[in-house]
Parts: sequence; structure tokens; C-alpha cells
Amino acid sequence: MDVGVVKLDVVGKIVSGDFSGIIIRQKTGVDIELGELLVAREGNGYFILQVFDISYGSQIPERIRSLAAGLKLEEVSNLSFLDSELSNFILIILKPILFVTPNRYHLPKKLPKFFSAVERIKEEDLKFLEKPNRPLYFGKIRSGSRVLDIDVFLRGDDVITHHMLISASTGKGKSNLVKVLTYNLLNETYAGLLVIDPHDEYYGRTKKGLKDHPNARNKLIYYSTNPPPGASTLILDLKTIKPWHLTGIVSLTEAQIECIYLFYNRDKENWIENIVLAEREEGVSAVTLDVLKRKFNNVFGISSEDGQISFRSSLFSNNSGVTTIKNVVDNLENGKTVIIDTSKLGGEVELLIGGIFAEGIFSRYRDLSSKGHLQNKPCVSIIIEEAPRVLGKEVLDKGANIFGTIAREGRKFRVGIVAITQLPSLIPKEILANMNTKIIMGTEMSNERSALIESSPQDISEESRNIASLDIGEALLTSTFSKLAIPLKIPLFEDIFKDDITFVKDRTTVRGVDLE
Amino acid sequence: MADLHLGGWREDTLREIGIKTFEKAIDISIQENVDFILISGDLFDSSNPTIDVMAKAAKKLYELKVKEIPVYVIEGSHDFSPTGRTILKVFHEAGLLKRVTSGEQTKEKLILKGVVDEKTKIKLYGISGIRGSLEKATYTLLDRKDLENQEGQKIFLFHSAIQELKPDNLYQMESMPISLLPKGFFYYAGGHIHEKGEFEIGDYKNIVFPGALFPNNIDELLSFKMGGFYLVDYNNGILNKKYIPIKVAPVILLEINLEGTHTINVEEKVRQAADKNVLKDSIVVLKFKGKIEGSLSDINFKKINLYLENKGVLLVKRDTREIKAKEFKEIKNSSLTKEKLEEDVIVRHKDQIKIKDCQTETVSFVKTFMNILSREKKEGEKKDDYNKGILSESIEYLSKNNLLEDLDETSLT
Repeated sequence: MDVGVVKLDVVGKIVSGDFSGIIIRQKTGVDIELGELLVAREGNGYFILQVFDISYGSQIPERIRSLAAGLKLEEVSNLSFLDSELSNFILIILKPILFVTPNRYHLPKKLPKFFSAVERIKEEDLKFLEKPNRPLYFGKIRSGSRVLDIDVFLRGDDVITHHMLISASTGKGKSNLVKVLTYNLLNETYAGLLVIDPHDEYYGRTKKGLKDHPNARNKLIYYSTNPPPGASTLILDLKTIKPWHLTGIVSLTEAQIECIYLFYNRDKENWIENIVLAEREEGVSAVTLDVLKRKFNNVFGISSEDGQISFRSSLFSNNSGVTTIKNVVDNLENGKTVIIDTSKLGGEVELLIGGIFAEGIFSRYRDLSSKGHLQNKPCVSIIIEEAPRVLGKEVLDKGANIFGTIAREGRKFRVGIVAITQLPSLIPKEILANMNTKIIMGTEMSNERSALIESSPQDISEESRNIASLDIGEALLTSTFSKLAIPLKIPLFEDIFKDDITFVKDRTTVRGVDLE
Repeated sequence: MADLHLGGWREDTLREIGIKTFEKAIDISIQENVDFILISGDLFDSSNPTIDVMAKAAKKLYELKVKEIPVYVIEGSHDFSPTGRTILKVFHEAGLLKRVTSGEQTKEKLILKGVVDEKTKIKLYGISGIRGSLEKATYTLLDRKDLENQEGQKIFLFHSAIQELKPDNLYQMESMPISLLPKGFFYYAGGHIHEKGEFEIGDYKNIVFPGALFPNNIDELLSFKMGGFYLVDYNNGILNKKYIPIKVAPVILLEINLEGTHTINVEEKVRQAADKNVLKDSIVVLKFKGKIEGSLSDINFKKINLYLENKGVLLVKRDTREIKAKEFKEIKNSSLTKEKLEEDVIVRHKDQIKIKDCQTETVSFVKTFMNILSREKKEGEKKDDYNKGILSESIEYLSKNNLLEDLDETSLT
């Protein structure tokens, strides 16, 4: 480049700094934003740099600047600086995040040359991010608030089996992100997905949702206590509930647990009914039995009436839903997405139901693994909202539950968790560190940001301010399976349908009816 | 009643007992002076049963006609035919029974017309069952609101496994969710599941599967011993259901443990077990288990049968699945029906099949593809057209599942 000729897309030049922060002087008339990605070219490669701070710079002593400002404010003055744009400027502080050559890309181990020109990043600069096999789609790359037309994928089975965390304050777009992730997973066959949906927002009962995906008919199963036509009724036979399903989810004393196992070991599948119907039991105090009956009334909605079991809720039965758990587990094993609408259930019951299915798939996969049959099975992910309810320190201190077990051991058996929360700091550090992919959305509370930053697979220690300023739908993706923390823009779920207009439903043939 | 499967057994004696059971059920119905009879599919074991079986069924149905007891039916997965040429249609035209499966398809929806029982004014609607549970797609088009808004007392006949109501041993059976049935009917007469059961789930009350009228295979003989039907009384809004078991011939199970027994001593073991029981006019199921010394083919089953027949046994069935002999490799089959056997084999081997990028789950894919390949030639269809048809349907299905291009890469291990 000729001296004195500045290329139009140059936004600044490197003037100082070190590895923890490269300082560039911003070109006059250009606006650079926090989080923006910039490029400094060198030889046949280029550095990708990210803005993490912005400050003022000036060649005029501060005393003079203050005086000039005072004159302008307090007196009518036409005073102005000579070559004002040269004297006063903006300094941008950048972090080098990647060095890209035609053959490879890696974390930078050197600084760009002094006085290098810095440009805004273009789509071509990110072409090296290829779509992997078994892709999991996250959204588009974002540079500041500018969205680049580059889709972000990571290898889905790796990400899923190594657990994910989605963290954001209320209203920052968590639900939209989960819809986008799950909708795109319906295109794939490598993963089964169990979605515990406490707000009944993913299926799309009354508006667009996962049910409108072209593969929904073959790949989406929806369970609800109040199912729309074609969906499955969420109903479980009490005989399919085992004592360990309650562990760590329903609060029980030692004496109550002993009583439960006394009945289970003797009565097997009829243990719940027999506890509820029991007048007294040798070796069990009347108080323990009464408290258990009350708890079962709350959890299962059952009580004894004239020596018969009476059901208050339609969720449990003594002759229907015998195969519900097996069917859900089978569907997950076959790579399907199963949504469980728990919106009509109380918190404890919701977690119990989620836990029962989670335990079902975890046990199945552990058995398959022991027989050496797991290799060709789809991985399975369990999406759980308000994750600290089952993965919080306080909860886990009271006793292990299946979600904690999966968070610790699930990877070996190809079962992962997607934990969604506003309060990641409530999750123990070792579990948080086990969440090898994190999608961080706007988070105002600094202690929550600290918990995320400290447990991030990439060094994002400079990103705290960035994370606080993330707008709706903006996110930072950090993952063991990515070389850099990627700034994301999650597309609006509703916009996906505009791009998916090629889908035409097959005409269904009527069989089994004599048409007139 | 449902799942009579008349003409279904290979053995004459059992086939005959099946028909006798039907005759007895009709006689009881006449004695009880019922208003009408419902048959929720699989009256016959095939859409084109033998003349003998047809004649015996027609005779009994004619008795009902004379007594002015209408019989309302739907076809089941066994007696349905995609061509529409079924014996039920013939019987319907002859006035021996009434099919309740008429409907009309509008642009988007399927409206069922149903039949009104003249005497009770009860409206009856139904959808037939089809092999491979293909009727499920029909239910997705059904205008449920139209049916739910129909006034008066309504009964729905169906021949489908319901996902929420399946027994544990049939958990892998193709089924549909109950939400596909219209709500608010006062009685749901179900067929296809051979085990009896009464259910209530949400807005669906009185869902009744009477089970098979007579067991259809050796496993059912062993588990149920007999079948039956429901006598339903509906008066002043109160519905009472009474199960009527029918025993034409008792089924006696003789369990013979052959662990360590030499084949030459098997006959004696059976004799000892048989002599402890009164076996006259019964069906005896010999259930053998244990590891034998020698070869299974050395056991003289003919002689064993003869011994039991001399004791007045109507029929001897033997279950040798749990015998282990050195030269035998164990194949676990939980049932001997053709469809169940097929499905079991597919499920057992599905992990060995790698189908690259297939859009459909493996078991469902294999079953659907087998269905396509096993379509029979339609009457009047030219052989060439038939071959081309099968080929083009296969190509279409493979291509829909992204398998056509990868055909060469598909490997069976």
C-alpha cells in the first residue's frame, strides 16, 4: 500500500498495547462497537481481533481541553482546535482471538505488526468456519450489533454429550434460542432430545412451533396431560414408578425411605398402592406411614377411599400408561424429539416426571454400553429449564438426583443435559465446569457473569462488560469444541419458517373408511 | 366382541373350537335378548376365508337376522382388504351384518356418516383396522368436532392399539394416541388387542377391549386359556359392563422340566404329568423346558400325542422353545404369529442394519418397505404394471428417505 493512501475499509491503526490489549486509533467518521470483530492482515494471513473496551485519546493536554470546553460552555466563543480530528480521537482496545492462514487457523502466538491497518471483518474472512458432520446450528456470527451472513455450527454429538448451559436474564431470548436449536435438530438423525417444557411453548399448540417442522410427523412426539389430536396423553401407570425415581426430587426422611423400600422389596410394582392402602405396617411407625400417604397424595394425587385407590389427577393411573416410560425411552433411542408438556403440573411433580424419563434413558444407555451396543446409537440430550431446581448446590447437598448423575457421568453413556438458567452461580462449580458448551446471553448480575466467565472453556475474562450489554437474541458461544468464543445472533424462530417454504405436506390416503 | 379370527388356526380342532366359541357367544346374546351386537374387527382371520368357515358364520348371522338382532361391524387388520373385496362386504350386502365405516372426504377432512340403530336410536361410527396400523393416517383427517357435536348416544368402533392403553408385553406394537379418537362417546368398542381391558382416560369413558373371543396362538392359549365378550347394559344413563368368558374346551398346561433328561425318557415324563390330570375333552399345551441329553429330533412326539389323545384330549400343542439341546442355537421368539415374529426379528436385528441418512426410524422403515414389496397383485392388474408399480413405489420410498443415491454404500453387517 502506498504511504499516505488509506484504504476505504480501514477503520483504524495499531498504535500500542500488548497481548492483553492491542490499542488502535479509530479512524475519524467510523463507529466501532464493543464486541465488534476486526481484522489485521499480515502476509498471506490475518488476525481476527475483538473489541473489548473503548476510550478517548487526545494529543492536547487535559488542562487545555477542559479550558476550551469551559469557554464553549460559559462564554460565547468560536474557539476551535487546529486539526481537531487529528488531535482528538477514539482509542479501541482489542483482544487478538485468532490467526488465520489459507491452511489453518489457531490462537495467535504473536502480535500484529505495529501500525498495521485494521479493517472490519467481512463474511469472506470467516469462510474457514465450515459446517461439520452431525452439525448443531446456533445462529449467525455477530460483529458488535452487525450480523454477518455466516452460520455457526459445532459438531452436535460432541456438544450434546458434553452438556450445555444456556444462561440469560429474563427476556433475553432463551426460549427463542431453545426453539431454534431444537427445530434444527429435527433435521438431524444423530440425536434424541427430551424436552421438559414447563411453559408448553415449544410444540406450538396455538402458534408456530416444532410441530410445524417438515419432519415433525416422523420425528416429534408430544406428551401432554391435555393433548391436542394426534399427541400422546401424559399418563403413567403407578406400577412403573420405582422408589429411586423419588430420590433427590421428593423430600424424604431416612425413615420414609426405609418404609418405601420395605414395601417395594415385598410388594414390588404394587408398592405405592399398598402404602396408600396400608392401615399399619410392622416395623413402620404410624406417623411415618401417615406422612408418606400425605406426600403420595400431593405427588401422585392418590388416596385411599373405602379401601380402594382413588385418583385425583389424570397423570397417574393403575391401568393406563403402562408403556409410557418405555415408549418415551424407545423414541429417544431412535433419535426422536420428545416434548413433555409439564405446564399443568406442580414443580415437584414436573421434576419427578422429567426425572423418571431421564432415569429411563440413562439406564437404557448404561445397559447398552455395558453390552457394547451403544456405539451406533444416537446421543440423547435432556433439556431442563430452571436447572438449579435439580442441579443447584442446595438441592444436591440434600441428596443426589438423576440430573446430577447425568451431569457427572452422562458423557460416558452419550447422554447430556442442556441446563437453562438465569442463575448459573447456584450450580456447583464442578458441574458448571462440566458444561463444556455455554451459550451466554445478556446477564446483568455481575456474580452470575463471574460464574460463567470462571467456568468458560475459553478465556473470556475481558468479556464481562460485553456480556452485560448483550441485547435480545445476542449471545456469546464458548465451547471446548470451538477455538474461539463466538459472538452470535440467534435468528428469530418465526423467521425460520419464511426460509422453510419448500415444505409441502403429503396428501393422506383415506383407508379403513368407505368413501361415498 | 372382537378378534374372533374365524378360520384362523392351522389345526382343524382349534379352528373348529374357534367357530364353536363364536356360535356359543351368539347363542348367549340371543338368550340375553340383546338389542344389537358389535364386532370391532377381525371377525374372520382373512378377507377371503374358506367356504366352510363362511358358511358356518353365515348360518349364525342369519339366526340373528331372523331374531332381528343387528350386527354392526368394522373390518380388522386381518379381514380388511385394500381392494375392498371382503367377505364382510358380501355379508353386508346380504343383510347379515352392517358395516359402520361409511364416510365422505371433503377437501381437508373426513366426515364419518355412521349408522343409526333403529331400535335404540344409538349412533354407531367406526374406522376399520389395517395391517401395519395404516388406519392411523385416516384418523389424522377425521373431523372429530363433527362427530363430537352429533347429538344423542354414540358408540365408536375401532380396531387399533391405543398407545396409552397397551399392555406391557405389547409395548413395541404400532399404536396411535387416544387423542385421535373423537371425545364424548358413551362407549368405545375396541379391537386388535387380544387381552381384555376396560379403561377410562380423561374425556374418554368406557373404552373396552373385549380381547379375542378365543385365543389365537399358543401364547394366548397359555396366558388367557379362553376368551370372551362383554354384555353391556345401558339404562337411564347408567352403563354396566359384564364380561362373559366362553369355555368350549378347557386349556390345560402341562409344564415338563427336562433338565438333564435323556430324550428316551421324555415320553415317560409326559405320561407322569398327564396321569395326574383329567384331560378328557381338553386342549393340552405341553410346555417343555430345560437342557436335554440327546437330540430334540429323537423325541417321539407322535407317540406322546397318541398317548394323550387316547386319554380323550382334543388337541395337543407343544411349546419346545425353552428346550435347550447341544445342536440347537436358541432363538428367542415370544410369539408365533407371523406379524409378531416378523417384527421381533426386525427389532432384534435392527442394530445390525446401518442405513445411511435414513429419515425414518429403522424398524418402521423396514416394516413399511416390506409392506411395499409384499403388495399383492390387484385383480385385473397386468403383471407388467404390477412390477412397474412395485418398482416405482420402492424408488419413491427410498428416495423420500434419501437412500437411493447411497444404495451402493448401504451395508449390512
